[in-house]
Order: sequence, then C-alpha cells, then structure tokens
Amino acid sequence: MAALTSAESTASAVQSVVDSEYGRILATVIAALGDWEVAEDAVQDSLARALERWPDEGIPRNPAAWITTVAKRRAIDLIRHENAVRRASTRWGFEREIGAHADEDRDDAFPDDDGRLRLVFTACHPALSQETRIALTLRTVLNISVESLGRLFGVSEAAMQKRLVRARGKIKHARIPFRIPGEAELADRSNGVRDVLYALFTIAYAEPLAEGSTADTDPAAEAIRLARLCCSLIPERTHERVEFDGLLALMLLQQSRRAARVSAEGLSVSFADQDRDLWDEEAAAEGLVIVDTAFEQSDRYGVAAGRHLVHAAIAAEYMRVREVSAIDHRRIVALFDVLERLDPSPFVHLNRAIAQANAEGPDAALSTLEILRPRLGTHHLFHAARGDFMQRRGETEAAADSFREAARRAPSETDRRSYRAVEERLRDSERAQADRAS
Amino acid sequence: MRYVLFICADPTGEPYDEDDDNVGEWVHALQAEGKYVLGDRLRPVDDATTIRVRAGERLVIDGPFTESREWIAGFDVVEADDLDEAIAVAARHPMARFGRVEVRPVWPL
Repeated sequence: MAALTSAESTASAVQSVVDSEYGRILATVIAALGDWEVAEDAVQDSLARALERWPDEGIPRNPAAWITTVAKRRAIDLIRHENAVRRASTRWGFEREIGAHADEDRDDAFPDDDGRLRLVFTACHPALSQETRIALTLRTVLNISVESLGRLFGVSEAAMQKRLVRARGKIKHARIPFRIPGEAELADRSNGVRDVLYALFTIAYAEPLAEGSTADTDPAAEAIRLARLCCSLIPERTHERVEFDGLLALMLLQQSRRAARVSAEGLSVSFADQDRDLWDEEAAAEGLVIVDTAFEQSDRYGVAAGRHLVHAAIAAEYMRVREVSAIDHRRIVALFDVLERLDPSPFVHLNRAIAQANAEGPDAALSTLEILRPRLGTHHLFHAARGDFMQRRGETEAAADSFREAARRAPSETDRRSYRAVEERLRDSERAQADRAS
Repeated sequence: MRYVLFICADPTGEPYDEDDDNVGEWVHALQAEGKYVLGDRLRPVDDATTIRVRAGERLVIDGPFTESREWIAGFDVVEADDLDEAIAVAARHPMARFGRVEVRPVWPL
C-alpha cells in the first residue's frame, strides 16, 4: 500500500487536533484576545493555514501548539484591521497586552480548567436563549458541525449559522464575560449549565432512537460527553462537582434503558415490561457507581447533595436489582421526600405520587394526585398517572377514560399512539368482563 | 462600558412597597461608586408624543411608540465592566421587582 501523501497525512493530523483539542485551543485564544467572535475566525483560519503549510514544512512536533500560536497572531491581525477601519473606540480586552497569557484570569477555584469550563459557562449564560445556549455549547466545546446542529433543531444550516453569529455578536456587544462565575453566582449559573445539558439530553427522548439512525449527533451522547467534561474539570468535594456527578449518573442510567423504551411497533414500553437484554449494562453500572461514590463523598466531606444527585439516586433504585419485584419502593418515596424539598417542580410531586402508589397502593396516591390537578390537570402525565392508578384499583372504565385524556394531550405521536393502545386494551378488557358478567 | 437601563412598568410585577422601593437610594449608591452617568423618571405615556416623517410629511401622534401595556417609566445610563455587572446593578433597581428592566449595551457612533 502506498504511503499517505503529505496532503493526506496533514489532513489526518489536523483532524486529529480538531477532534481532541478544538475547545481548548478556542478557549485559549478567547482568553488571550478577549473576543469570542474573532477567536473563532482566527482558529478556523489557522486550521486552513496548517492544511496549506504542513505538507511542505512537515507536521510540527506539537500540532495543537502551532495552531494556537498561529490563531493568536491571526486574531491580533483581525482586531488591528477592524480597528483601522472603525473610528477609535475602547475595546474590551484589547487594552490588555496583546498575546499575554491570560494567567491573571485563571480561577484558582478551578485549577484543572483548560479553558473549556469557561467556554461552557459563557456559552450557557442566561442572557442567551436556551436553544442558543445548547447550540453554542455544542459548536464551540464539541465542535459539532453547523449542519448537524441545524438538523438537531429542525432548522436550515443557514438559519443555524445566523443564530450562532447573532449569539457571538451578543457576547461581544453586550460584553458577556468569558469566565467561570464568581462564588456568589456560581451555584445559580451551574444550575443553569446543568439545565442546558439536561435539556439537550431530553431532545433525544422527544422522539425515540430512529430505526437505523445514523445521525452524527446523538444529543443524549453529546450531553453525556459534556457532563463528563464538566466533571473532569470541577474539583472534587464541592457541591458543584457532586451535582454534575449526579447529572451524569442520571443521564447514564436513563440512557442505559433507551433501546428498550420503544417496542418494534413504535409504542412506549413501561419500565416493568422492558426487555432487560436490551439495557446497556455498562452504562447502568457506571451510573450506579457514580451515584454511590458521590453520596459517599457527600457524607464523608459534608458536601450537600442537590436535586440532580437525588434524582439520580431515585433512578438508581430502579436499576440496582434484577427483579422488578425487588425494587425498594419505600426507599424511593423517601428519596422523593428529599427531592421535593430541593426541587419545587410539580412534576416531582407527580412522580412521588407514582412512587407512593408503588409502595402503598393506589388509593392514597390518588388523593395526592388530585391535589395536583389545578397545576397539572392539562398535562398528559397527570392523566397517564391517574389512568394507571385507576387500573390498579380495577376501575377499568375510568382508567380507559384517563388514558384517552392523556392521548389528547400527548406531545408526540409515539406518546399518543401508546396511550391509545393502553386505552384500547383496557376497553377490550372491560368488554370481556362485561361479557362474562352477562 | 455604558449600558442603558430602560425601566419599564409591568402589570405582572410584584406590588410596590413604599418603604423598600427607594430609587433614590439606588442612584446614590451607584453615584458613590462612580458608576452612574445620568437618568431620570419619565412622565407616563399619557404625556408622550410620537413623531414620524414619511415622504417628507411630519406625522405627530398622541401617545407612545408602542401599543403594549408595558411602558417605559424611566431610564438610567450606568457604567459597568461587563454584562454580569450591569445585570447585578439592574437587579438592585427597585423597579426590577415591581416592573422590569431592559439592559441595552450602548453602541457608540
């Protein structure tokens, strides 16, 4: 086999740098120059330059460093050009000595950060819309292509590019600072980042894993990747680390059952009915280890657990045992009691009611559910839960009615068909009962 | 860098509290830090006039430029190093509670 041409081996070397170092390089250039927009252009330019020059000059010993240095110089040129064209005005960051290391910006509270955590926090700034936060984080930290992002959000590539350009413009014009927030805001902003990651994760669950899907961006996998990254960059024995561990574990545990969640006919499969052979044992096992370790750390070092870790603990209870009958429902209810204090969302109360039904039977749970009607009465999950409780009480007709209500309010076609299928089964069963009785 | 804070009325805001909601204090605190440029309260929209010139013709209308129920009750121009600081300043303005505050970066000509 012929040796790779120098163009081919260059392309491969550049791709390798992009795959593993893009976020780091970008963060370094942003930090040095104080301009996100210019930094991204400069990095793209330097990648192009590498492709041009390395075939002749040879691949440098440290390709990432070469690209970073060239990008910084390019960024300086771009800024100078911009300033020459515009009338003089103060420019954020430009007053800083050009090319100086941004060591003075390194946050001692996050010594492991290689710049990517700063990228994440900045991309997830509350001044940007949730969708923009997701897109910008994926683009700049994981280098997901604009085309893939467009498909993820159901918009054209051009529309997505426009959105990203606008976002970078806002970061620059409104001066969204490029940093990990200070202590006063860290908890709040970290929560925001976790919400972004979980929102990204759930995009994958809006429609199930498509048959033969070759989407190059699986939002669930990317969310897990980002969570892992955050965990690796945040110091242990801190509340933020405990919560990011919790989030990662939660996503792994949910992801582990993904292949079993939808039947061949495209209907939702309840937990109890899932084919465990389709579970990803490795992901589940890792999730369990993370949860247990995080709780142990939390106890030992007196670091408070937050809603993500508690939510993960609940998910873990379902996965610890081989037999559905062995699940410790009382423990789950106790964990929900804790979660309710940490997360005021009415859906937590709803899920607690379901856990209560599992632990104590449907009667008490029905009363709990009714209390939620003013807040959740228009939501499909409320009616699905009600239907489930009615079914357990043997009130087949009422259960079928509830599932019909759920179907009416279902957010996706899969959900709608699944609820209708349950309703049909219940009505058939009701008819069979009636026939036997007569 | 300068930001303009548009102080807006918002019918869905929390109730005004005469004791706690003291805009003067907010202004003085910023002035003490050297971060206050200028600002003022504005008369309500009943006293507003909107001007347009179309095809050389001047159109003068009684009322604000917007028909929405929210309207601009005042403005403040402040100095801040970045958006986080501007947000923190805006959040301390009493009207962030019983109204809402738009934070707009200045774009020097």
